Amino acid sequence: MIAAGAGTTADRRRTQPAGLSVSDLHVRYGSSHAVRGVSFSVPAGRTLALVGESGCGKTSVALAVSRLLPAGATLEGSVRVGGLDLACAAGRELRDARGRVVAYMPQDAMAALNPVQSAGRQIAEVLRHRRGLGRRAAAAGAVALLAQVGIRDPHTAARRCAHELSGGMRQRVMLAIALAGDPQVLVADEPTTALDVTVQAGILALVRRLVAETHMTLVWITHDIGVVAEIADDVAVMYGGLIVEHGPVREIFERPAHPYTGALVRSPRLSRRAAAKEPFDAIPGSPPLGEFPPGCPFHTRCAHALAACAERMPETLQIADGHRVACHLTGQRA
Amino acid sequence: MSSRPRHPGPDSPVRAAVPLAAGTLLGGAPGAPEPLLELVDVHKHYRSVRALDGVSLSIAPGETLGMVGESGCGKSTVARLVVALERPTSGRLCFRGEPYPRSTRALRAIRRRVGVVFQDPYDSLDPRFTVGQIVDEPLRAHRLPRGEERVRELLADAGMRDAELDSYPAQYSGGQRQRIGIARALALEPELLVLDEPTSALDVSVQAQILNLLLELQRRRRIAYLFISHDLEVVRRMSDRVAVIYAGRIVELGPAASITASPRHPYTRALIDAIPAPTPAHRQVGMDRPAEDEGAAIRAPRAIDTAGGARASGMAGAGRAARPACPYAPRCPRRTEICAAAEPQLRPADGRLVACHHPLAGAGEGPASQAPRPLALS
Repeated sequence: MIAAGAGTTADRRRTQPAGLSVSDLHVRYGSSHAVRGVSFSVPAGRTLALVGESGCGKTSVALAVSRLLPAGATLEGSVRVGGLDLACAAGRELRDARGRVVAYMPQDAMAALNPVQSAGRQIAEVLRHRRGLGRRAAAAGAVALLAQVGIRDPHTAARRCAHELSGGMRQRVMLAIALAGDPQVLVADEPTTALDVTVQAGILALVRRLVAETHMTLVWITHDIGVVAEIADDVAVMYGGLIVEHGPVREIFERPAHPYTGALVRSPRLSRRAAAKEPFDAIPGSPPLGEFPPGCPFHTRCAHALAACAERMPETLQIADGHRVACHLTGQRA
Repeated sequence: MSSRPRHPGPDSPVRAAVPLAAGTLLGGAPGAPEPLLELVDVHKHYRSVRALDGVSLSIAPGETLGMVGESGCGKSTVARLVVALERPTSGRLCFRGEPYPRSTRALRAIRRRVGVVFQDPYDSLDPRFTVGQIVDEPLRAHRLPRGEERVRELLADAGMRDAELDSYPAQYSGGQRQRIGIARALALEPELLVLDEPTSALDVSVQAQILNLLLELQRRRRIAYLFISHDLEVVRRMSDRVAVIYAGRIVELGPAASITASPRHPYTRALIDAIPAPTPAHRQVGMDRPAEDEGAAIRAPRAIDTAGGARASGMAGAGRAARPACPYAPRCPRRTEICAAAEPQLRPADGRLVACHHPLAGAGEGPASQAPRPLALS
């Protein structure tokens, strides 16, 4: 039971925190193979940033983990949270898992929120259906959750509809909706991309605090490598439907092993030391859309590509504790 | 104006005098007697919304002026006025010393000399036009020498040597589309190019290519840029000088390096602090520090969201009586009574212009000057 204005998420947690383990995940849309065998695990209470550009498959992974893939998409592999394999869940089991086991937070809060229902009502709906609270308790719980996501006047905000809230406030409401189900895993799909930097900084600080308080397992999907340094414990870099590098955040930034990761960590936003009007570190070409090239998907843009890169997919090698990379160059050096 | 009795109107000599002085102080690169573009006390109001509230700036030939601020602060309004898509409510725009003409017909001359590249290459290219038609259109509209060769040359300048003239924008990636947009902007050989967030819609690994193309074009053709972005780090790398804009006013203007290295306006500081850390070793807000911590006022969600920020919603309230004289005061950790009472004017300080009653200490000043020091108004 939630007492209005009191009760932190930690107090309310009824389930034990659980990690997420994804193995050999494939997503296909008809003949297009968007995710081509992705495996990763996130221990309970940790944050994994899944980084990649448009078309790399990161949103497909997010939707697959949340079991929100559109009709017509096929999902293979396993998505385990605690003892449950979400990839096989169906019917009532799946319905109960949504929001309780895995919650999904979309990029575009304006599109995700019901335009004619107040924020409070949409949060309360989750509390009633997922947590079995009564009408009054749910309404009070919604206000408490709005306070928890850093909204100063939660009673007023609870009565507002999406268009009456600022972009940052809407994203906080989305976060409150996700938290309302008390999920074990939260999948956040570029939730700060559309926000101004100052608002983004506030949301990042808030999410970090909530993760620390609730021991939620967080998967943060982003194309913005800058956000990764702020929020992640571990980083998985996706390119062409594959994870090309995966490791602890400091390893990824300080010793990127894949040439694509190297390009990302030297991207314009992060070039603090470079002088004005000095050329930026650039890689040619654009990320593949639709069809991926054979072999390593990055070989068409890679300055170090070998003959093997165009022919076969590189194996994933462990190069340090928890640091894995899929690159022929690494294989050759080893 | 009646709602803001303390605020001198746009016609008041007091108000006009400051921007003019500002213009002479930092009007452009040294040794450039005549600015290419000049804005003097420009206002643009949409009903009660003051999108621009007295903006003065200038750009020298071949120079890049960066403009940063959050969404709704007026950056894009400046762009629309400069490319003559709209007219100011009051104030003056001049190109090479000549005021922008009044008649729509005569404004064509301005549009020939001032080009624009828009943010979204998916929206700004007509999907029913071929690439050749898109790049040719400005030549046709301005009755300039045309032909396939000219169009190919322009595309090649923008790094699209292999583009098929009869292909359509939909066949290209975001980065390539932006190159097509740049080729179109180059067609009229503009002296000034307005770049309105030219890379923010692009993939990270593509942004650097487009920024490098813009740097190279400027080097080769001496085009001046008005480079608009919300990304202060990219603006620093691209610009000679930077204007920081908040709620329709310039709050700080000066050399890019010194403004980003030692900002004097608290809002500039806040923008810098909000840039995500470049590496995990430089995380800015500790895990355990509550987001509402007063010490991190600007990063605290309350301070930002409830104040309405620089966005249009805050602006809408701005035209009414409740607006403080300094638009940033509600979010500012350094505010005092004077910030609500008197509008801070852009004043020279430390080689730049700052509009703040309590500017931050410069690099060379002692810690004593860090405390707010209310300035006496003359």
